[in-house]
Amino acid sequence: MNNILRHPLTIALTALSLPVCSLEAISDREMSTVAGQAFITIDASSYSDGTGEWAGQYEFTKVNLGLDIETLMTIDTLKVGEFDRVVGEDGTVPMTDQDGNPITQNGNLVAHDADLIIENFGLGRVTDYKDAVNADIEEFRIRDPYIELAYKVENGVRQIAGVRIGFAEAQGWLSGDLISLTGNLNGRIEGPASVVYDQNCNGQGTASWFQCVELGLADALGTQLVSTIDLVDGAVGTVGYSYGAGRELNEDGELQNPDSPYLDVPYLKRASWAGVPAGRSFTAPGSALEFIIPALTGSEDCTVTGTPACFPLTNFQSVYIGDESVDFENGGGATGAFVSLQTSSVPWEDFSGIEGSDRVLTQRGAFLNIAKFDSNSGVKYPLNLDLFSATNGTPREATCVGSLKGC
Amino acid sequence: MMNKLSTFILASIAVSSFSHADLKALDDHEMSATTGEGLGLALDNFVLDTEGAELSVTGIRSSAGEEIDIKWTSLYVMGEGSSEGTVRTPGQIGSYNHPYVIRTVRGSAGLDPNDPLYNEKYAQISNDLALLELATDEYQSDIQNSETFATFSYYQGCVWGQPGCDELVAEQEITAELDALNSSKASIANTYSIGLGTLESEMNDYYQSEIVPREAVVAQEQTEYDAEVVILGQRLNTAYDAYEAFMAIRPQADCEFGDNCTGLNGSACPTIGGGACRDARTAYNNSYESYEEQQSVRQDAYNELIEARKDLAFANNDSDSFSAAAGSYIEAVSNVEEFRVLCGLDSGDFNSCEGGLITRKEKTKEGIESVSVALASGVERRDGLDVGASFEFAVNSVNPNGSTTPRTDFIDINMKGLFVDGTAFRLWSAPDEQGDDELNAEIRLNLFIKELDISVCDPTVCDNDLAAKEASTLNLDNMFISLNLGYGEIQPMRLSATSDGNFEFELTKLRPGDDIDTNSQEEMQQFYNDYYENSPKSFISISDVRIGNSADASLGAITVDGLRAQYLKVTSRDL
Repeated sequence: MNNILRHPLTIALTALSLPVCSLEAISDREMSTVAGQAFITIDASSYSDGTGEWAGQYEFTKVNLGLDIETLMTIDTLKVGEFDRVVGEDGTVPMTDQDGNPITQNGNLVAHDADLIIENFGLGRVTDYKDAVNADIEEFRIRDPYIELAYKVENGVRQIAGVRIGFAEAQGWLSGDLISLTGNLNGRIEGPASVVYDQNCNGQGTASWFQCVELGLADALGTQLVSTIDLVDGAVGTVGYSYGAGRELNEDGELQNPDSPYLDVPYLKRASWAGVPAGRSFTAPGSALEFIIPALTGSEDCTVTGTPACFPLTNFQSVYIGDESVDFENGGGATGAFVSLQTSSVPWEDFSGIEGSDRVLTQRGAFLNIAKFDSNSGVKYPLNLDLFSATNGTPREATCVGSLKGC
Repeated sequence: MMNKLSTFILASIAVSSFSHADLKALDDHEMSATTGEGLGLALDNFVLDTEGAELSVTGIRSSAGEEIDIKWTSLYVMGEGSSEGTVRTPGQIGSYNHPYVIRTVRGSAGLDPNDPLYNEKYAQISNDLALLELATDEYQSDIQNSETFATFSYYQGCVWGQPGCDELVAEQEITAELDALNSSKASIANTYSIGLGTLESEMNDYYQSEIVPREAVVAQEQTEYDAEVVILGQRLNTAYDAYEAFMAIRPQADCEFGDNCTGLNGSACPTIGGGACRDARTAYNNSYESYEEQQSVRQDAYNELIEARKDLAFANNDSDSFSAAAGSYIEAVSNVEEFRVLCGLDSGDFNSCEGGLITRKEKTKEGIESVSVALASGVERRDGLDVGASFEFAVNSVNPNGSTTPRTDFIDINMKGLFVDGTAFRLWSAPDEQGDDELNAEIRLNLFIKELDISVCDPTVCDNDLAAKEASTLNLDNMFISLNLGYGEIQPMRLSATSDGNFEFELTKLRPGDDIDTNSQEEMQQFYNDYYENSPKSFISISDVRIGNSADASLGAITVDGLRAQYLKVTSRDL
């Protein structure tokens, strides 16, 4: 056999349990239930339906690992995509302090130094963390993680365009000081109309008398206000202040944020604030005032009729991935979560299950997708806030025994 | 087959120190302290090159069950500087002074640290247990030790010795990082005029008197609200069932669900024989009214829940309520937690900082300074290995419309300057919960690669166009993986197989030793603090990721700093 060694080789990764005690033969019946487990599969796909910077020929190779993982894991600092970005380019937002004041160097706005910076990152939590005798672990659960490579083919030359690590399903608490975030963090904020009314119509705030009449009526009717939230630019006094990525359209399809500098970017880069982006309104689904509320509650300059609508991400150090009311085995896990790194624009396949979703459009750099997903009981969001506590923040879930973080 | 192992020298070295002088019999005490000392291994002038031999790998399938044809088309292991395996450069795997070893040793837990048999590496494994250790070469010198050199390289940001990477900047980088941490620490300490212990005492009092009762009220209101929501749902279903029953009897009734159905609005029942119709209509109207009443009850419950939540949020966030006069309770919690991150969980004083992130980074800085001094003095680091492999995958690519197209994927991996010193696998047997023996393990894996290049270009295209190949190759500089799994008997790694043929890997929950009273808060908290402070964390870093070699193609560094699994269980399953 010249230079060719052709042996069919089955790679069987069999973990050895080394029973040091007696070995017992298994019966034929028992043996019949044992099979080589195919816990690795490889899928290939292609995509060429993109437009703009996502046009062209993409190929993907996805390695699926059949694994069930339960863990309590912490990382002191997680930093991905540490390269230069210029504020204002590609949706890069200015770095701010906790109050939203932009930070400058030599008179210039600066961005965080990496696309993703998460300190005191944790998956899972410790319950009864102040009780060292009875403290216990509530694991973060992952099923079927995968690694996927994206290739871009140009002029017959194939190059790696990106790599992502994701999970078919994931459930549990994800914690961390979210210093810089690039990607999607979808949330939902709700509260009674009284919160907006109280803050604007009891001798304070900026709402007009007419708005107060309507809000008072909404309050009296027990109206629930609801809005989705996303990453926003929280740098007070800058051109992009309070805007999110993309276009905000009202029910008639009219553009509500024409002055946004982020109209044409798919997501913000190096953001440290989340909230109701300028131009987006609260809604009151099912209410008699369903058609009035959006007009009263449009977000502008990070406020909704005087109520703060933007919040530093460090206010929210824990988010629940998945549906907390449903067990993991019964489908409570979130789908579609991933972290990726791209050398150029990549249209990743969207596994969130949301109706109509097809591709997650990513650009050069790192990307974290903690997005809404479709569970058996409807669309779920990883970040769920109340209007009255969003401004102040909520405590972190503990990841140590004896302290919330730092171990 | 033309595989070649050039100049293959296997040397086994007895690691035991032995004397050429008189041999004396050991007494029982001396004998009890003796273990089999092990075997050393070194490969000198080592070259492995498959030179075009191919290996087919079968058994891997796609999700659709199609067999994927995988060809392993090349493999080489040579000394550093082999130009991707094209120049046969002999390499070293271990050396006579720094061999790989296989040995059995006793644990050191229970021994006095001054005992000559005590070894810190085995300090978490009982002295009455023997363990088998497989370890790679080890170096005391910081410049030869790949862990410290890799950390230096990460802060340096480039591959030391390559063009443009000859100015020592790592020390400045780590100093700046450490300065920022110290500044954060000082900022927190300056926020409070009282000591850390006093502040924590005030926080605890406030938590018990102000927060806990409000949390209880919120929990109670939440329970009541949830119960009202359930009743609301039940009444809605009842009302809808009653509506359907009425419409089944009187389908021509002009009445929508939600309306009050009467004879005046198109829901009249026949005058004669309409008793059942009227009963059904009344049942629907009553049940819908009951549903509406419950809506009001639910709204009241919701309002009370909101008030309770507001009250809790106020107690958490109101600066005036908390007596420390330096911000709210929730700010104090955040500051104290942050101080512990910086200075260790044992911190008892704002003025001391003897653990935590700052201490760890100070040790990192010492290593970087040591490497920098050595390099500035002209000390050279040893060469590593070059390792490369190429694969071809014949796959069926799924198009967006569901059709498939045959495709061949190529992957060519070249590692330039690979080191694994400081790696060890330790195995021992110990009883499990049922008293049966099981395999326990501890892993210390150090993998440092100065340059890792990955190309996916079709060789028939790129081998004839080297510029295109270079421009499309993914380059990872200074890739370092330091994986530390297991912490002796406190947190062993267990390997086993399930009855259905799957493997199971577990990093167990922490196991306090017999000397710890598991009912004592103080002893258990100290046990956890010792684990957090001493069990090694894991690190992954890459100083630069880029496609090609142009400056604007860089994606910068990747850092996973201080990873720890307090619990991890991985079970395979059939896909």
